[in-house]
Amino acid sequence: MITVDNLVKEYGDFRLDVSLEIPDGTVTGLIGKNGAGKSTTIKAILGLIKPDKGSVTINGKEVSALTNSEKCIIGAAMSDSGFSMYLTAEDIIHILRKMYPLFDATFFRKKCSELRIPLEKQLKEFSTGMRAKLRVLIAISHKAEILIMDEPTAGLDVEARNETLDLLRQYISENDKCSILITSHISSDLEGLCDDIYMISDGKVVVHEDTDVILSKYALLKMDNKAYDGLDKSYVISTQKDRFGVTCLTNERQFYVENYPEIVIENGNIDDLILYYSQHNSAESA
Amino acid sequence: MLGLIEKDLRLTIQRKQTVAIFVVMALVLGISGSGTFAVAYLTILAGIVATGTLSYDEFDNGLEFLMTLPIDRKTYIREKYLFTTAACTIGWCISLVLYVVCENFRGTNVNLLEQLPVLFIILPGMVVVSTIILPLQLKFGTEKGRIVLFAVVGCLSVAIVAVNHMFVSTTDALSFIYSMQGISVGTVIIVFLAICVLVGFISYFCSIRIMQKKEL
Repeated sequence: MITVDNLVKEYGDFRLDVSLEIPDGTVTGLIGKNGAGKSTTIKAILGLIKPDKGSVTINGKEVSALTNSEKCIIGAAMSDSGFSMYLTAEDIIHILRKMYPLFDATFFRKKCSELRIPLEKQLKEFSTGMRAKLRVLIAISHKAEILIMDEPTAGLDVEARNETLDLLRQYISENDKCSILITSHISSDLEGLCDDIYMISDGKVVVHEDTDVILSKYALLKMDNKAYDGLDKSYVISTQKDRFGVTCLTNERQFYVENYPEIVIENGNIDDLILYYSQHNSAESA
Repeated sequence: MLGLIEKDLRLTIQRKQTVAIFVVMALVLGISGSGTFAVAYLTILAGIVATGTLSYDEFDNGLEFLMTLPIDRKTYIREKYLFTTAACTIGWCISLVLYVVCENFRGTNVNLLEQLPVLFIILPGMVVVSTIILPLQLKFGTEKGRIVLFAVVGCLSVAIVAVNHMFVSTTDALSFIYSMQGISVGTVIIVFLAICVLVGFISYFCSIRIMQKKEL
């Protein structure tokens, strides 16, 4: 279980101030615009940066106090870092074998073969897709109980994305006690994987909902200006006006379905959440 | 720790062409008559190759990823010092063999036992020089670290020249040299070793401090 309790980290004007909890057996998504604070949160969870205030604990123990053997339960895939590009996948097998007592070299080789990851080529000769798949494979090949995935599918084509996600799905299905924190810009990835979603905007958690709730209760309401004037705005989170009319984001889809049959109601998704919440926050701060 | 050593060994093997060129250059130096210089040369090059693994780690945010593995920052630094010391020792041993081979090739009869004390002090000296690179590289990065290293070496050279100049102008240098002759080689080696150990430990603790403060 990962607990982030009132974590504060300041970089000049930017202030991250978040609390989140990822219980055992839960896949949690972390979403937000670029610069919202997702990577800083992930880095704090992995102990790569020191919080100015607050705490980050893994299974009840402060991250900075984890011993090397306790860190073996963590598997991490970072979006822009990994093993040296001059190493090969075969080199990595030998390194991981010495680092993790539970590293499964047979599984690693089997998956490399299935995912067409060459064992003898240097990583610098790999395609973006191969590198991404290898990063995820490294994280899941030592029976990790906690997975931290920062943009595991960024920059991948559809095929590589599906293969990477299948790898994760298979791991989740075989390790039901595993806690996973995943960030992604591709909402469909998170919708298909995550049990709950945290949205960060300007360094703060603005939404924490179960994925099912986001998909079932959040909606976009589209109407003309006249209908908007008569709309009960109690459950409207954000409003956007343009020359075609007004679009509102709500978290009470059913209320508007029942009371406003004349307006267009589209099911909400994670992209809408990011887009409309960000606008809402920008408008508020302006 | 073992995983890190494995990584650094494999990274060093990737540079086998560079290592081979260094060995050939040491051979040429040895044959051309600069035997003891070749020993120091190959030993320091081995140290530089070992400290170079830090650049490989830092490239493309690699250090950030390495710290997500079951390694703490102290272990990482400890391994770098251990690896550098081991590399220098291996380089020194190889260079010693090359030295004997080259001297025999040139028809010189080498009394290794007699020369061993002089050849031996090269090793701790070169280990210390190599390990001074580590905190500078950790603090300033690969490129800036090199510039800072050149600046440090430059300042030290100027300081040595200045002290030497003052020393010669205020005392009788010859009498000092004569007085030094009374000191046994063993004492000189022990004092030199003590200085190397002290500088090595200062470098190590500086590296630990820098690494623990480093935001990745």
